[in-house]
Amino acid sequence: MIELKNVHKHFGRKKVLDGISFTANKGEITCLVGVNGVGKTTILNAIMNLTPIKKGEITIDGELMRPDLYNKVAFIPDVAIMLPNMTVHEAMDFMKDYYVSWNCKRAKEITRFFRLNLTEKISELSKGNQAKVNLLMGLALDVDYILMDEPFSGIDIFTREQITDVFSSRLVEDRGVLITTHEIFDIEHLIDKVVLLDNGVIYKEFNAEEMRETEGKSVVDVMREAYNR
Amino acid sequence: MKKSLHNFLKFTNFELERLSKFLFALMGITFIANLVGYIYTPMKYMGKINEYIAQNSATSEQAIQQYGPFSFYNALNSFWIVGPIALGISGFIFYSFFIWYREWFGKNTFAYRLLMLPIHRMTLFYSKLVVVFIGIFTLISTQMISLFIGYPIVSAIIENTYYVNQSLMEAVQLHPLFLYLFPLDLGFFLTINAVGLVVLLVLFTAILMERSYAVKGIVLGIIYAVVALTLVLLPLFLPDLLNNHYILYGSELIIIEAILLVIVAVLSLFTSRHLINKKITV
Repeated sequence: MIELKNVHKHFGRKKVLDGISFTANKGEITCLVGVNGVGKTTILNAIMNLTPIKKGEITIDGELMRPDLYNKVAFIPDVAIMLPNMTVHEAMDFMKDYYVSWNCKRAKEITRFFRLNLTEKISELSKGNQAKVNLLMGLALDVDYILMDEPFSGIDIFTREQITDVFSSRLVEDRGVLITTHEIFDIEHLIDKVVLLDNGVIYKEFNAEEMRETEGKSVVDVMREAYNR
Repeated sequence: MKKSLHNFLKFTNFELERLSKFLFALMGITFIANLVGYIYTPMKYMGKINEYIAQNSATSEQAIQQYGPFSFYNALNSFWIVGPIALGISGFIFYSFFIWYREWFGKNTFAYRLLMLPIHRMTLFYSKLVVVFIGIFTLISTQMISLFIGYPIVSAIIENTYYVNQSLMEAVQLHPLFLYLFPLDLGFFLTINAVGLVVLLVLFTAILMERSYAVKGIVLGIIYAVVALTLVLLPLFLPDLLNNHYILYGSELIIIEAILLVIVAVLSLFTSRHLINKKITV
């Protein structure tokens, strides 16, 4: 379980996270939603120790982040993070060199699934294919948790469909997924838990399906409710 | 421990591959420029001598009086030899910044990947440090190889009458720049390299301050670098600053310098470790 307890984060004088607490469980898809600048990416960066927090605690299965836990949690940011002059194949070799959790068989499976050309340089790939390479680098790791930041941003409809398929495929089964997205329609039916952020705090934490069934509201309806207060 | 060393070597190798193009370019420029210098400078001298003799029907002695004799030191002092040294120094000052900032800026943000590698983050720090040092030593070696090649070339081009036979070591020891590049005294060699290492440590720490605290980090980094470098360099320049009115013996200055180097190195390492583990941001 990824657990955030009373997490505070400031950017200069601006309070971005003001006592955020929630959990993301293994085997569940948790979605962080909120308008731009609400701190979704900051939360993911903070979990991966890529930005310091002012106060609070973040644990992964009860442990504070340390280097070997990067074999347990993978982060797929919304920017290209492998060297542009690497080919897809070289990028895979790089991952294999450093991560004991790198699963070569699964990596090959994903390259086939996404129809990636292994000999092509990352810099020469389209934005959609770069996003697929990012996904490949995260999904081919035998990790318990995957964090994804805006996996659909700036991506065409067909690639988006392919990425959506990932969520329902066995590539993420049994893992805990924590995702941020604005394109909530694409994955609403797959989400287990929604954490809605507003003004640095959690406005509401709910089960998407339950909300649909009991109150007849979609995730976007709840978001509207929050931001139209 | 074994795993850490393995990771360190693996990452150092990776960083060396990334340095290779830049290093080979600098080595190529250094080698070619030096070779041109060792051929062109003595030929230019001989050209002037011959022209003087031809135009003035002068004797060799008169030509020497006019232009002076030529030694290997004269070749070393030419732009073709000093220029590449200046280029190498500025190149590696630039690379010491570039080796960090390229991970954040540019087409892709590789800093994400590096900071998420399942290795101790200080491994990245040590590897980058070692790679800059390997680069500097490789460039110095290129300069050294070209010296050995250039020495017989210069003596072959300059006629014996005009040539002051000077050993390679003598020429190197006379030259203010080469004296630092190839110190013959072990103590001096160790001091120069220790100072170089600590200067690099301070620079890396200042860069990590900026990467951790943004604008505040720039101010902090500059203050830290100025204070730390003043501490480290002061004993070296103290005799000159006091117009050689020594207040301390040389051996005392060396002990003070060694203590200051250790203090600044340890402080830089601890600060860097804290910043890269807890404060750095992508």
